[in-house]
Amino acid sequence: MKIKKVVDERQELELLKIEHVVFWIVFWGLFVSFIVQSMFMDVPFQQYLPEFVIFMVCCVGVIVGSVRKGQWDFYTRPTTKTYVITAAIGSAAFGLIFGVAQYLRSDYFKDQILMLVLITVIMIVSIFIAIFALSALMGKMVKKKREKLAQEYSDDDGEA
Amino acid sequence: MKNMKMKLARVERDWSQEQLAEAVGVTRQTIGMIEAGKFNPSLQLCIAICRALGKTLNDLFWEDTENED
Repeated sequence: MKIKKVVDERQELELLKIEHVVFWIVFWGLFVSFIVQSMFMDVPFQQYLPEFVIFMVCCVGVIVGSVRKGQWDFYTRPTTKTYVITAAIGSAAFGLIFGVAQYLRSDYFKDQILMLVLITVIMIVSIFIAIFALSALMGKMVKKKREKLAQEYSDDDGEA
Repeated sequence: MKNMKMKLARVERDWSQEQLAEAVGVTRQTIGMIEAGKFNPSLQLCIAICRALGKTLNDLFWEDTENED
């Protein structure tokens, strides 16, 4: 049974805006909770597993939904520059958090700063490559979908 | 920007915002916000409003530039 909407287009748009803002608050809240528990506290993985699963469902949902509709982002375009900037910011932030967390939690790293810097740099490079590859793959799929949509609704019938 | 043309057309018909809202299937607040220039309606809703008020899109939603007559 289909439930009939009782809101008009303005109300629907405003509800979507509210839900959009709340979704991103919850998304980043879950991310912070996951980072704090996994990196700064000695919390077993099983304890924050449900949050982690919900967070990953959000990530996959946003990626799959965006690719299916040929959408990328509100503020950027799917270009190599965007992928590099995203990967640089993401990996630098993660590296900073990782480095600080390891320094605070481990007595070994307090004495072996160079080792900590080396491991952090390796982490940053790995995360950079992972984010860049994922962004580039997603960007390629989004562009492919956009091209498909453009062809589907093109009025240039039979033209190359 | 306020939509005075739409408000005038509604008042000419002696309709309240509530009556226009009911005729086009939206809430009174939505009509109020369109008239106050706080909400841009879809083309579909613009057409519904025009039909309800017996006007064209040009009559209600076209803004003349300063240099035009």
